[in-house]
Amino acid sequence: MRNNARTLLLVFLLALLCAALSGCGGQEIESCLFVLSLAVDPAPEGALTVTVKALSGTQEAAGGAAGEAGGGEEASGAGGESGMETPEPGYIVLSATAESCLRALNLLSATTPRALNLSQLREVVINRTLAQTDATLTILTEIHSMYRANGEATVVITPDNAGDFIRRQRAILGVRLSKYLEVLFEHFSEMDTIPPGAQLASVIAAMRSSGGDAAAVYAAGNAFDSTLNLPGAAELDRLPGHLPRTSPAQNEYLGSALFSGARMTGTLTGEETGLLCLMMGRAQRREAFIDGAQYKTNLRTRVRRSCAEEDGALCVSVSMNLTHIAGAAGMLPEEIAIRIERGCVEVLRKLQAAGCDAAGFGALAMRRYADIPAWEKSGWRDAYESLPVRVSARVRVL
Amino acid sequence: MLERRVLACWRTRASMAGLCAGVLVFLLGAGAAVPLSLNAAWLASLAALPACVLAAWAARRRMGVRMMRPRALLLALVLELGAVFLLASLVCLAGQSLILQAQPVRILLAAFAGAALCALSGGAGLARLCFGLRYALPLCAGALCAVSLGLPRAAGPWPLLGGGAPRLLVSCLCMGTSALPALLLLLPPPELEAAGEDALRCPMPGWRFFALRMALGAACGAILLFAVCVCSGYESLAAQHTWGDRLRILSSAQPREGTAQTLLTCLQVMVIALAAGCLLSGAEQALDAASERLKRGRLGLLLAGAPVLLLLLAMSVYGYDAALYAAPLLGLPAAALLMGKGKRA
Repeated sequence: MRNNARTLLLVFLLALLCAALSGCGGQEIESCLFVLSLAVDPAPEGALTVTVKALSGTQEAAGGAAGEAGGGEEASGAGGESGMETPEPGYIVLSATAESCLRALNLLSATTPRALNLSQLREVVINRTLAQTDATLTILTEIHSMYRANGEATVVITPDNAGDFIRRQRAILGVRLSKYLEVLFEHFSEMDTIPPGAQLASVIAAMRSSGGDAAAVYAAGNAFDSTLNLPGAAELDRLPGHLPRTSPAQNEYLGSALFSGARMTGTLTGEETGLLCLMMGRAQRREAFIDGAQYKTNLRTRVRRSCAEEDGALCVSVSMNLTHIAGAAGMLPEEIAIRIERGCVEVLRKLQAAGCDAAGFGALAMRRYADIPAWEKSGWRDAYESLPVRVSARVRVL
Repeated sequence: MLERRVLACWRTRASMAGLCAGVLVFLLGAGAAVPLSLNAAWLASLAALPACVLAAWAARRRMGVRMMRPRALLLALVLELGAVFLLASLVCLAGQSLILQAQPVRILLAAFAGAALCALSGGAGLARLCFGLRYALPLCAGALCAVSLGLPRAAGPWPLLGGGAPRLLVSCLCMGTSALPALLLLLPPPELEAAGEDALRCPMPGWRFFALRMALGAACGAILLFAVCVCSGYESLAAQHTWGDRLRILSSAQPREGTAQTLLTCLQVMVIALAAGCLLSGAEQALDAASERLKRGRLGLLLAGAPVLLLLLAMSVYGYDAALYAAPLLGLPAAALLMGKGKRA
């Protein structure tokens, strides 16, 4: 009797477990359409056009991707019987227009013979006109809420047509587009020319937050004929689309798109973004060109941000050690410090003018309030734009 | 020699209660305290520490006291309801993270079967497993949290009082229920019962012995909750409307939805199932204490598990939120069981 009851229970429980074995369903790799890039553009009558660039997953395309240009070339060009574009071997571009981003994505799922899968998503490109409306947060949240959407995809804002932007995106170095995009964003992060925390989930969190604002990557297609000549300025002190250069990669990622809440309100150039990274304590750049001389930062740069008790001023103090590597060192350390201070003040003023607290001073000001109602009543956000700015830099040249 | 064996038995029993307390602190904190106090939920979870110490002290006072049938039945009922809460949390968490597209009923059946299989091995085996994992679990959880949450870039715990002092007070009261696993200490370890009267008469450790282990378990749960609250701003916490969403240990500002995140969720699921198994085996033991016939027929687990399964199936139809709303109230019968008087055996 004793053992029988236990054995019966054991058999029952094991049978129960067996019933759950079939709980996993319908996620065969062949049945998924893996999206790498997603673009959102405004369409007439308040609608949105969502364009996705995905792995085609066909044998012909795989052959084309491996270097067999024949099959890929034949399939190239917009349109075709299936209505899909194959701008490069191995990838297809699909688009749909609907009232909302989610409905457009559902439309793509319904019209494509495979399930849309955003787990491999690398970039989300939004048109600037759209980003300047309050719809940005809704769009990003809808994309992030898709099943297993990759929260680490980089958010990019472009003044061009976002769909065309991702059509131009190609893996020019003979690697997969997904890897190419990863390397690309990593490279620009190391150069400090794109803002930190531009990932999908981080941007959504910053847009919702009252203690900071979001900054996304700003990018545009290269227009070699309309380069901006900025005498005296650093090479990267410009916005994308104006770099005087030619290359197989038409798209340029340079600078930041600044948000105030969910709305885009301004931009920073590549150089200004570097200073923003420095003030946030997230600078990764190890080399700097100052007045024709090359310096290296071997030691960690120490940054301290605070809000002054007496007048609420936004204070930043930077302490860095530079090693002179090449070129004639024409500036004294004090002069370099003054230059950094001036640059940081300008960037902070620009952020204030855009109503964007991308440096996260709000999170510091929040510490003075005991609870959320007291913080929300304080009106710090409204006062932010007119708060005084104080930056002090200390530079040692080793 | 016998004294050492008895001490070892009580040590494993206390570890089991400590693990359950830690799990309940996190689940109640994330489920009930976060919607109330937002980022101050971790502060509310600290209230669980004195509650656990007090409950361990009260449980030690009642150890060795003969349990009357109504009291044993009430104890079994409270432990079963505790198991229902744990399993409902498990279903919500798994359904929101690991197996988003699975049918909730199938997750429920798998969760119940897992917990019941754990309980089938008997209270002694489960307690030894909890004791064996006493260092490994917090270390693994800590390492995976550090990788997946990106603690150096945390938003911070400010504003410190979250939604305000009144809400924090209510959250603290809710967190008192985390001391419920102290009820497991009212039941002697099964191996001592099997060893006979001599083992049961051996001196038991003092209340500090049990209080320390329960408080350490609760502290682990509170630290985990602190990590979640610190890594997500209060706005992100407020935007988590579903129970399962809140149970995920995920930083809103630095998503790491990779291997570490999946491993952390798997660890969470495993520990919750283990804790549910502990409470189910406790309920079985309480039913055995209530009736000799049940004990002889070894039908305790069947009788303890059946209402749990029925309740869970009912919840799968009407919604799991009922378990979340009812869970803080379990503290009342638990307090009555711990504080009430009894006759010496």
